[in-house]
Amino acid sequence: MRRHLPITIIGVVFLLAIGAGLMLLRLKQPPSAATAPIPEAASPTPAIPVQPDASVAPVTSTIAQEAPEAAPARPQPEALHVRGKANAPVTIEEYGDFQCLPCAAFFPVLAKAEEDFGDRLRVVFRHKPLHKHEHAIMAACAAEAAGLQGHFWEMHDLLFQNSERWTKGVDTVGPNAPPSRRLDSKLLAMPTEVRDVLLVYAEMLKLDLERFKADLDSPEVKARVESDRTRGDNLGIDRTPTVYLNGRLMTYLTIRTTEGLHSAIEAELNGHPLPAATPPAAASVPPK
Amino acid sequence: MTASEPDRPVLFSLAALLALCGLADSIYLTVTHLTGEDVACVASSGCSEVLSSAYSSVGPIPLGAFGALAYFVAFSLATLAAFGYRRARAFLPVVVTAMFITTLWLLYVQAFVLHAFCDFCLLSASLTLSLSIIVAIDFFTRSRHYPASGKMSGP
Repeated sequence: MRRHLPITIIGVVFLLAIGAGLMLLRLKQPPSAATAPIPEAASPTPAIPVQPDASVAPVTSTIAQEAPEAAPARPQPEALHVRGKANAPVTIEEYGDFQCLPCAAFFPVLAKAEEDFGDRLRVVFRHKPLHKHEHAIMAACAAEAAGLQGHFWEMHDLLFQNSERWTKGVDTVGPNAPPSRRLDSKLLAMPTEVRDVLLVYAEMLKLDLERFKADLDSPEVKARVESDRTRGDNLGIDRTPTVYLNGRLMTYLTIRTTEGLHSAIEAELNGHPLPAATPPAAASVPPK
Repeated sequence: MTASEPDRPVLFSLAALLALCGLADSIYLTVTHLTGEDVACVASSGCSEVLSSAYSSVGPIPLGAFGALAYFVAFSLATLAAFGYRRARAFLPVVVTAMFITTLWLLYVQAFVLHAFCDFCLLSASLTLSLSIIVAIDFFTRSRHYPASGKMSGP
């Protein structure tokens, strides 16, 4: 009996480890509905009027409900940030956070897919600034403020391409900064430093800086970001990036690499789409 | 085991327990890597930086998976050693030394390349360090007092 005891213990631990890993993997998948559209009643509509881009069709029927009710008196944030042709057979909808490093890692993967699939792929971006990222909302607002001047995607790209820099305020430090400050730059930047970097980016994009500054703090822009976040909350999204492929939730594990995302898109184009991460169901997670 | 060489079941049970903690930590890190979850640190501030860096995986395989494998092997050997298996006791220092060297490399990467530390990685490092101390205690005291211990075979 004693002879077999250690082998038994090792076997039990092995099975427990595998079981715990699989259970944790299952639990860590987004507990949301498998499909992106949710009843509008479950998603409080923001109080801001919207200007849908005429060049693109709504991704889902739900999005179509976000049509403008009245002509706005001043430029308003876009209803939806879409890149690609309206009739593209594949639509990727990403809920992202500009301060989230996995989102930044996913950015080149998605960019490569856009490049490779061209007109066959359309990308929708929605904000999901996580509460634990203190600069995420400001960055999202910067993208929206740039969007008011027609440069949402350019700012979106800049923020993801440089996420490790602006989150640490590196761009406010400069090459001639003293070594001690460069060391500090490895820590998270202060909000004022991040704001300075965002203004630098706005300048790089040749935006109207005064207008950008005003829009960065405007309630309309914040409401636009919050409306996306609320929508994500209603879908039960608690992590980023969360990606929907033609309305079906994808596991990050499936699409996090160029090969994985390409395979998923190819499967979609070939009429054999990958299964959704969770069975289709109505959103059941209450808004936070 | 020769009559003159103690089995040290308590020492190896402690090693097995530490390896079990490391296994749990590594499984958690592997799962968070695979799901893309942004891990929040409690004591340090660099979990995201470390766990999403280029050093966090070897090809498509998360480093945590290798850690889990190493801790499981260490756990198995320590458990067997606690029950008096000499081969396991002899092989444990080899595995733990490899883990220790890997840990030193990862600490170097965190400190001097990424300039960021991650709680879960530091926990793993401290567990590996503790394992190394236990194994070193056994190895050196055994070598000193029982240099010509018996053949390496099961109990």
